[in-house]
Amino acid sequence: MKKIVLLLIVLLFSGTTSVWAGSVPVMDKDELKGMLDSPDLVILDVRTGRDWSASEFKIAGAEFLESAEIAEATMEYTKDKTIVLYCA
Amino acid sequence: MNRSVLSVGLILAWLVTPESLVFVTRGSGIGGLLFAAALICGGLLALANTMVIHNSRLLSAGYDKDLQVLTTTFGKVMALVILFSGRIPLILLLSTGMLVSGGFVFNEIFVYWFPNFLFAVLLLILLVFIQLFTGKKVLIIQNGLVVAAVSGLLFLGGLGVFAEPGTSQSYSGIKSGFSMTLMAMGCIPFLGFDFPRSPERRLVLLSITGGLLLLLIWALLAMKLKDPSYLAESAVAYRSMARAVAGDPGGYIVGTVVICGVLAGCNALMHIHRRIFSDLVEANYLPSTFSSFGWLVCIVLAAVIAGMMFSGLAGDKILETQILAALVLWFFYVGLRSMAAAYLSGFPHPFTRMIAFLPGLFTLFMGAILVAGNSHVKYMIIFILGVVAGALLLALIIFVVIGRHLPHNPLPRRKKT
Repeated sequence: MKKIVLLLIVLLFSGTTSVWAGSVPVMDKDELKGMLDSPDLVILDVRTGRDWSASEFKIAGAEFLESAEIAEATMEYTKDKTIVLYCA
Repeated sequence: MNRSVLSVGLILAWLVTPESLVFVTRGSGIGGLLFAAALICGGLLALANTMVIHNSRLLSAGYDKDLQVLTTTFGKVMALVILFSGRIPLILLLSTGMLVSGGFVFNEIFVYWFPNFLFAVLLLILLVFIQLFTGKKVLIIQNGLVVAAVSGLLFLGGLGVFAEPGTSQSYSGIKSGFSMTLMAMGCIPFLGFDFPRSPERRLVLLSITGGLLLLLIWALLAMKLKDPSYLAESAVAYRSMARAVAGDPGGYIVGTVVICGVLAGCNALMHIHRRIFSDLVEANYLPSTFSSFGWLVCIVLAAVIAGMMFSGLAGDKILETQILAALVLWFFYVGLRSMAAAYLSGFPHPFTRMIAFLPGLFTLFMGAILVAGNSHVKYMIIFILGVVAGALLLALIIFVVIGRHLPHNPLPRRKKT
């Protein structure tokens, strides 16, 4: 995938549906599941506070980031990567 | 059922919350077996404070209410400042955190499609509903919740004895040596002993001892099953421990324990706030017409908690620091309450009098250690000062604004010379 940045909000384990963020594409959990083996996939776990600490469910291989670090972290990846932000 | 027996549900309410379990598992990861020693010291400190706060000399002198003891010792305004700053942030911040944790547990263990946040809100509504019952029924429900939580913890703890040790079984923590911060962490789970009013002292002592044994089992289990670095970092270690002990059923059991613990902790906090309100009316600090509006206190508190939840506070990591600051204020409250009790007891022997002050003094010291040992020490001090200022403002509102309209103004008027 050439043009990134795919900012995705996946509400994997809650029943709620989506967070509206303008033109940012949203991915559902099944779609993400199908991509998990892809080497071009980068999952950034951007949950904060208890949303992260009180949850036992963490996506294997996901990188945990503080919100202030997101912009800097996304710059580290080449544009052919698919970056998924996981926030709930 | 005897009211005195029912007070057990209040004494153990904080001890069975997921927050306490997190302190136990984290402490076990940090200090290993030394944390078990810290837990024993914490239990002993709680026992010593109980001996002072509920001593027979004080009760026979007619001092059985927190407000009464604090007012006689520190004066009316200071008593309210101590009471409000020790209690109000506790219910607002702890409940917000615990309810959100309860929501996650329900969502991740029981019904994955049910929104965690919605479940947290439903728990809050349930708490308000419980508080609409009369005092004794609330205490019966409270005891039911605590019994369920304790039974689950005991059952899992018992099974844990036979569980296979974790691959990295280690009884030493990630930090070597005993520290005062570790000691203060060991004191935190025992704070709830001050919740009931004039309970049988023997019952409080038994409850604390039982609670200490329960937490020791869990601390040793944590060290047996999990890696110290994982324990020190994780806020959900007790969940993976339960599954390591009993598989998926263990997860369901610990899920039930957590939800019952959250309800018990929040319900106990609501109950004591309602009691503080009725004490204020009884002390003539508030109009007597307020006496039948105790339920309104719970609704107002629940509304504020709901507001904090909807504002996303639980998703902000500063909540953990704020909760710790609220716990520090709880330490200060207990310490001052214990010292006030020692002062009013009028022990005849100077040595006994001096000894009676020590548990309270040590509790204050433990609170100060928690502040000093935190990485956000500046924020904590500002937060604590802010809470004290808010409590002072609330006390002044009660005395100056509301008290002015009372037939017997609680503040003595200045005499004209």
